[in-house]
Amino acid sequence: MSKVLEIRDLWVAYEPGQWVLQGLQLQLKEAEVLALLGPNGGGKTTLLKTVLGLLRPQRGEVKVFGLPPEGARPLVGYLPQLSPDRGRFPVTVLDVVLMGRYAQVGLLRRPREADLQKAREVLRVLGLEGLQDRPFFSLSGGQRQRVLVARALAAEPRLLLLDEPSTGVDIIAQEDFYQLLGALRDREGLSVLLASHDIGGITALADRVACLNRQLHYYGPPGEALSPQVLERTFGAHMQFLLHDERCLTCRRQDG
Amino acid sequence: MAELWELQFMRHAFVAGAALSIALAGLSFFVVLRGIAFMGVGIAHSAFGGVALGLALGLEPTLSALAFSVLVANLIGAAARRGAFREDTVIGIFFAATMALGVLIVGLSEGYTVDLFSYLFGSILAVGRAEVLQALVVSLLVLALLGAFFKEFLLESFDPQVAQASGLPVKLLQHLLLSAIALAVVVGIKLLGVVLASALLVAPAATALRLSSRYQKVLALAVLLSLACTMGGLLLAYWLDAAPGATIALCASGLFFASLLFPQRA
Ligand SMILES: Nc1ncnc2c1ncn2[C@@H]1O[C@H](COP(=O)(O)OP(=O)(O)OP(=O)(O)O)[C@@H](O)[C@H]1O
Ligand SMILES: [Mg+2]
Repeated sequence: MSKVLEIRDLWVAYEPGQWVLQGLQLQLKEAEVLALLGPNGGGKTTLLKTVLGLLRPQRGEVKVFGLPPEGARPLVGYLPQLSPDRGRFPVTVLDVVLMGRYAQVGLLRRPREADLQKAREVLRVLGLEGLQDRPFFSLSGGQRQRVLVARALAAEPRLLLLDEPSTGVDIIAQEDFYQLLGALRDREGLSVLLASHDIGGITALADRVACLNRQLHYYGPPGEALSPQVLERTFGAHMQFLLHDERCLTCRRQDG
Repeated sequence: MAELWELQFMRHAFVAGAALSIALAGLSFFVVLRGIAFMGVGIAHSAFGGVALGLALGLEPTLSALAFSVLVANLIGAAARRGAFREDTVIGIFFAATMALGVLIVGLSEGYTVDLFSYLFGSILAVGRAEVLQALVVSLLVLALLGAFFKEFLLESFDPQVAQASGLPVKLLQHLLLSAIALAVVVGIKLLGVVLASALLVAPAATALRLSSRYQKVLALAVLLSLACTMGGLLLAYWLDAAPGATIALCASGLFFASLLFPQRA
């Protein structure tokens, strides 16, 4: 299996000396889902941005499909943590999803029928076809989030980077979405790197889990990852999450 | 109407006004959506500095105003990015700095004052062939740019982060847009006065946004409103013997206020 993502000794800081990512070592193979878990401020978003080439590491190496991050962008779909808020920006849901295909369409070209069809198909798969002509700004927060997921998928990426895709999304849509990700992985070999706070839900889907709080506290299969010791090390005294399974019982919720 | 077309100065005014009002309306779409309405006034004042600088250095003032304003527009973009400020904050600073530069130069070199104002606030009813040509060239340039990269400008205005992540040259796009605004505003000032250029850089899209939430319609409406106000304003100014910049600007802002009286259209 080929390497989709290869991270070696990655160090990233926004301000000199203030290391947000410290010596990270990670890999992602084809058709693998890697879940990033960690507390607020643990560096999940920073890691995703580095993989996209939006941030440059001070030290270490990031290769995406064997290329530097900038070179791999056409193969990558991205859902940012914060959705755009530009007031009454006059675009419909379909327009927004179509934006996901702009890189494929290319400069100086207009989207073609095939692009429109792809956009509609993705909307259908996510159960959003009824919204396609609605102005984007008129949607609820969770609906917007799902439309932006659709936009990321419309690019037909080989690697999907999702920054907290289930923010504001209801349980049913969330379950459906995890199933869809699983199906895309199994059928089409899609690789997914996703930051999440939904420890219980995501571990059913993820092939691997990375517990990140500045440093990597764990990287491996989900089962053992969630031992109370690992979680304690990752989240420290600020354990903000309730697990959705039997392991809850051993985790203390503490307010720091 | 027909006899107006016989008058060469009216012909010039209509052609230059139409071209420029379409270009400004197209730009207004992005100016309003990106919240950089202050850009028009900012550039207008930097043009003042550019004219003064040109006169002091013995350059052609229109060209020096164009070059200086494009430079300032790009510096505004770069400074906003570097300092992680909104453009409007930086415009506020450049606006004062370039105006101050102009005032300083004028003060140091006696005798330019009259020239300066005629260069800045020329009347559309007195434009010559060269100025019409200038307006046409700049308008076509702006429209070609908007047409060629429309979907990129749209994505970059809606979601800059994803635009960059998807591999678009976002910095280049920002600078192209700012340069286009500077060019159109300076030519607009030259022909039609400072009031009109800033009015048409904001009002058409703002009004159109009240009438539709589809970008295709918003764009079409903005162009239509801008064109209608320019043509109507020119005629009115001719009949009333008034300043065309003022009638056009009043029309554009009047339509905006009128649009507020009706409920927002989806
Ligand atoms: N633009 C920035 N400038 C300076 N520091 C930043 C910036 N963005 C993030 N940081 C810092 O980097 C650290 C990691 O932030 P990051 O956004 O990667 O965390 P996260 O794991 O995504 O958190 P969350 O769960 O809240 O989304 C935090 O301490 C944050 O304060
Ligand atoms: Mg985050």
